Amino acid sequence: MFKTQKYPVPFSRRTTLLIVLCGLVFGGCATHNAPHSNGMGAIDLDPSLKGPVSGVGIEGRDIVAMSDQMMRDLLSTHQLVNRDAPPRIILDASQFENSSSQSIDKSMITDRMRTALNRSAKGRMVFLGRNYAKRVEEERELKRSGITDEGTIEMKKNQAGVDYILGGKMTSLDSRNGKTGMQQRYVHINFEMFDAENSVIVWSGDYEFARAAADDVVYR
Amino acid sequence: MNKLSRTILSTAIASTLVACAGLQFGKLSDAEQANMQQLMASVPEPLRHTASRLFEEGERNAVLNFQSLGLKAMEQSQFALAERSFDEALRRIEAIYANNEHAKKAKSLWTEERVKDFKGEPYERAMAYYYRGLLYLRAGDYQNARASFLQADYQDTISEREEFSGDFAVMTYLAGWSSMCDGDKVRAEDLLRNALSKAPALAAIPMNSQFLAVIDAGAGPVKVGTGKHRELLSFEESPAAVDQVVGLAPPTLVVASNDAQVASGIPGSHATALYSTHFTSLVKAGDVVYQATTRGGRPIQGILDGKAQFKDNAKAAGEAALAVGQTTALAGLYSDNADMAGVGAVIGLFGAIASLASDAAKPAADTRHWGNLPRDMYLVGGEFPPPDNASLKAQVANQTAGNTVPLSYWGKKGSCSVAWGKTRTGADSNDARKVETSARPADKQFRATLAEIFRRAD
Repeated sequence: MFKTQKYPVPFSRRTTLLIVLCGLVFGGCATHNAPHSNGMGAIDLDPSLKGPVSGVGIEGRDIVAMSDQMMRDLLSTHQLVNRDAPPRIILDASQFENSSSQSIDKSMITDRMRTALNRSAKGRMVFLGRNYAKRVEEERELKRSGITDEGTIEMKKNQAGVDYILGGKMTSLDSRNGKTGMQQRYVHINFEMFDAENSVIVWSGDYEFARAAADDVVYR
Repeated sequence: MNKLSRTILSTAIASTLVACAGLQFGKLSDAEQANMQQLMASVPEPLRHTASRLFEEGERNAVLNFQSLGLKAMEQSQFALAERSFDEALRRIEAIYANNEHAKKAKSLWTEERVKDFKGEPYERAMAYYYRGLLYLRAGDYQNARASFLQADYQDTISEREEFSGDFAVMTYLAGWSSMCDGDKVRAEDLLRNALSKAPALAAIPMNSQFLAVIDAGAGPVKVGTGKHRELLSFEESPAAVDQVVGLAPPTLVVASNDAQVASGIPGSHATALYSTHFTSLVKAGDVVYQATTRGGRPIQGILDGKAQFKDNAKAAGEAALAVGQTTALAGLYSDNADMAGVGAVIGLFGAIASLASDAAKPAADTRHWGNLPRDMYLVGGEFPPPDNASLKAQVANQTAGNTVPLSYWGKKGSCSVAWGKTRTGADSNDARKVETSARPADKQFRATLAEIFRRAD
């Protein structure tokens, strides 16, 4: 059977009577104006800022901040951006591991990073869409079989090979203080760019945060 | 104080206190009724009762109803709806409720705890993560499955006593198994070692089992309020032996009679015998009743005890004040002392107020509960996944409608495969609960989003 903890009971008979009288005479019934009690229409939020609903896990603002930080760092890496031929890179969710205690669509992270990098690199880096490879192969077959013409881009012997792959891993550590109800999560996300020919890691970057909060006592 | 004055005063005070109550139910408008009917037409019949309850009860019971709906959707093989339902429940469970108006009301003397939005007790939150984890396993998303099972285990860390904290070993085991399926052997070994330290019986299912059957059995705990004023949360349980799982029947293969190619692809001519040899022994891996009853005292229990004490004290003080007031007033009248009679009347008035306040105090514990949870979880491993067209059944003792329960086999995803089943499908102790149609204005927005949730689950 459920065991209960003994808590000090705060009301003596005299104080009870006093509370009743004071409460009714002076306070009456406090009316609660619940926030948004009439509902709230849709509002636009800045994805880089904390929204009205949040917990202790990774949120949209973290993905924005993290991808921006990684993008700046990658674009300042001499070995990658100052090559005669821009490096060909694969950046997708296939090499990103979620090892944390929070379920997440990993492609949210990798897609935003790839988009931001592709736009900012302005040709200094080239990204390969391996997820499109099968579709590309179908189109190549149509061209080569003469069903379609060659298009306006010169035909290549093969699809593009990759120079570097960006991988990463998200890990977390959860802790809780049973006395205060405070829960805390530390999240570490690391990224590594490795040479697709010899596994040498040519760039590393990471992003971390720790967040703590406590639910109202009625939920602990 | 004469009878008429007392009645008028009592009515006025009672009205004031009743007006304080935060738990008010309403009814749907005609337009909302029409919306609900339209929406329910797109929901499979066995899920409509819970789906309409979800619509009517709004945000306050959203977690409760989404959990119930999600599990029923799994039973009906409506997996997209199940995923959406558990995602919605978990989104609310993960949100931090700080400075929440309804949570504040739950602490008020004059409102019941159940005025708050339902987030469930830790065992219920853990089970929501458990089912979401199973759904990730079904999809072959082993990393998010691991994350879900880790969160399920984390919910158990809220236990007051250290020996009961983080002891939901089946969750740790499933997190480890998910890691193994994801190819992360180091993490898998770490988690499985941790699971075995909490439940050594799990060693019967080797880490390299590529197949896992998960069988939920029995009926989960039912919350009841005990104590003089139902202020103490307790649990009722049904006996585990009623539909105890005793094993996994040898798999049979669903092969079309004219599909010789498929049949010949099965290793050996007697697939049933071949695959049954690879099953491990059955392990009872989780006990939901145990998890529910070992968390220790809830912090809110102190508040509910305080409310109960207040109720008793106010009643006693009211009765005493009424008696003293009556005696004093009568003494004043008999002695022709108007002042004394007046004092007696005032004391009597205070007594009446205290009695009414006692009646208005609401110390009852919140007994809303997830009504279609199982009592126990059983696991059976297999060295290799059965073919995707295998038909699997669990053998159950004392099952009135036969001695086997069909399992939903989700086929091979990556290197692993999972089958899941439940000995009691359709039964939900929540169905008997009176529908509490929410009258909160914010529920309009909630009801509008349900259409999108059901549409995306198609």
